[in-house]
Amino acid sequence: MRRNQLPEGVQDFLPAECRAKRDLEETLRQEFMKNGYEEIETPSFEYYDVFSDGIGAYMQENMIKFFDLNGRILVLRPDVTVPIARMISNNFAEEGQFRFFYIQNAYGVEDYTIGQRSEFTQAGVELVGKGGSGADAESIALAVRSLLGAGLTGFKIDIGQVGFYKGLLQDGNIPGETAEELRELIDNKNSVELEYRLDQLGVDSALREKLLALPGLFGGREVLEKARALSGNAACAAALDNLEAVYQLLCEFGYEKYLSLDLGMLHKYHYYSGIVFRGMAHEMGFPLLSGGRYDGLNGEFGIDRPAVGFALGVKRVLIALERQGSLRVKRTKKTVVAAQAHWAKAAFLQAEALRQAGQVAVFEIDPAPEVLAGYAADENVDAVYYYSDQAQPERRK
Amino acid sequence: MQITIALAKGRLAEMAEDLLERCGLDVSELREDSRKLVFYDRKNDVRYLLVKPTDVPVYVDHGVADLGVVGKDTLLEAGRPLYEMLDLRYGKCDICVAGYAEKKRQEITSAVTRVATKYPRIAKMYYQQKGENIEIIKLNGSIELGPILGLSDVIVDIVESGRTLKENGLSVLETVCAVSARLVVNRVSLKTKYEAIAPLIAKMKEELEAEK
Repeated sequence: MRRNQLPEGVQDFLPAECRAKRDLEETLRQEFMKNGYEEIETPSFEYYDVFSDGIGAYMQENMIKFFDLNGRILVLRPDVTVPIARMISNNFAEEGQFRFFYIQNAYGVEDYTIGQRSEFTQAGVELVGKGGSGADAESIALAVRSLLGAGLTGFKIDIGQVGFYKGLLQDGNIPGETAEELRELIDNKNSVELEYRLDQLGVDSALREKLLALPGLFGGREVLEKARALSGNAACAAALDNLEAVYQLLCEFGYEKYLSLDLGMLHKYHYYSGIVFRGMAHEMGFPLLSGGRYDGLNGEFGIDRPAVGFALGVKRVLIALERQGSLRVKRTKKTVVAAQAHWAKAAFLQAEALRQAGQVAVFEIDPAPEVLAGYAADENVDAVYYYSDQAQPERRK
Repeated sequence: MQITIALAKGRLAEMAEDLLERCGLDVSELREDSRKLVFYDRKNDVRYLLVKPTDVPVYVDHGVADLGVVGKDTLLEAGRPLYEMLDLRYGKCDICVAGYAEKKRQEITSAVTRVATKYPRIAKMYYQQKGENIEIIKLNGSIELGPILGLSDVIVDIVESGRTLKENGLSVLETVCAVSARLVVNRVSLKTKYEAIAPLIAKMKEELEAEK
C-alpha cells in the first residue's frame, strides 16, 4: 500500500472548500444561536452500549469500533442525537427545557460505492423537554431558516408523521419484525413488493387497503383529508391532528411554499415517534437534512423527556449550493511584507501594524526571488513590500 | 421542468420505449440507430439516457436521472434506496438456485456450499435467510460453467426458459424470487418535480392496467 493513501469514505478539505465549509458552519451557528440554541460538544467516541440497545440502536456493522485498555468496546459516534440524550441524563437531573445545537462529525461504515462517507459533518439542533405541535413547528421552522440562511432556493421540507403508520398497525395483528419489513417497503414507496408481501402475509383486506394507500399519501394539504378518510382510530386521528396543527403553524409563518406532506415517509431510525421531516433540493439526489420527534429516547437514559430535532448534512448542502451556482468562496486580500534578515524587525513591525488595522499580512524573511515574483503575480495579494537594503521598503506591487 | 429517464440498454429498453410511446412521449430519437448516449423528446421536455442495466440504479439514486426502467434483479443486487413504484410486468423471469439435482457433494474438505453467481448480494441475502453458510464465487457470465467444471456446487442466476440450464445438464433446485422490469424514481425528484413526474406515472399505470 502506498503511504499517502486515505481510508475509504474520508477526504481532505483544501483551502477553498474548507473556507466554504467554515463559512456555512458559521452561518448555521449564528442562525441556531439567534434562535436561542446553545452549542454543545460531545466526545468523538463513546461506549458501544450507548448505541447498541433500545430504540436508538444502530446497525452493529455500520459502526466503527475499537477497544479501550480494559477491553470495553468503543465506537465513533454514528450520530449526535443519541449522545445528547446520554449527555442530558448525565448532567441535568431536573425537569426543564433544553435547546442545544452542535456542529460535529459523525462516523459510520457505509457503502462507499454508493457515495456515502464514513466521516461527515452534521449541524443539528435538539429541543428537549417539550412535546406538542408548537415544538415540532419550531424545529421545522428552524430547518427552513437554516436552508434559507445557507443561501439555498427552491428547496422543500417534506413532513410526515410515523404515528399514523403505527396507528394503522394497531388494527391488525402484525409482529414487530414484519412491521419493520413493511415500514421499509412503504418508506421506499415500493407499492409493488408491498402488495406481494401483504398478500403473502394474508393481512385482512381492510388493513391491506390502508397500507397500500400509504405510499401514495403525499403532496399538499389535500393529503390530510385523504388520510382522515382512511382511518378513524384514535392513534391515527391524533397523528393527523398533530400534523395538521404543525402544517397550519408553518403556513402562518409564511413557509407554505417550502412544505410538502408525505405520510408514507417512515424514517429508518426506530426512535422517531411523531413528526418526521426531510429537507431536499432537486439539485441533489439525497436529502439535505433529516429529523423528527423522538419522545422515547431520553427515557432510555433516565428521565423521560419529549424531544424533537434535526441534523443537516453540511457537505450535502455545500454540493447543492454549488449546483445552484450560489457557492461563493470569499477571497481574503492579503499584503506581503518581506525582508532580508537584516531588516526583519522593521518588516515585522509593519506587518503587525497592518494586522492591528484588520488586514491580512504575510511576513516572510529572505524570500527566494521567484517566490517574491509569485506574490506580485498573485491576484489575492494587494500589495508587496520588500525591505532589501534600506529601512524604507520597496513597493513591488 | 425537464425530467430525465434512464433506460437499461437492450430488450428492456425496447419494451420501455413502447410503453413510453403509448403514454404520449416521443421516443423516435431513441429508436434511431446511433451511438449517442443522451436522447431528447424536446416537445415534452424529456431526456433519455441509455445505460448499462447495473448503472440505472446508480443514475437514479444520485438524482442524475429522475426515473429509471430496470429489472428487479438489478435493483436487488444494487440495494439502493429508490422508490420502486410500478411493476411493468415485462421481462419476467426467476432468480433460481441451479445445479445437478442428483449429485450430492462428496468432497470431504468442503463443508461450505460454493455458489457461483453474478448476483453476490442476492445470493448472500438468500442463504442468510435460510441460515446457511456459503462461499460466493463472483462470475460475470456463463455462470453455468461453475458446477460443470467443479468451480462451484450450485449457481444463483436468472432463469427465463431454463433452456441454457437444460442444455448444460443442470436443473433448477430452488426458486429465490420472481423478477420483472420495474419503474424506479429518485426520492427527491418525486417531490421536487412532482408536477412533471406524477402524471407520467399515472399514465403508465393506466396503460399497464389496460394491458391486464
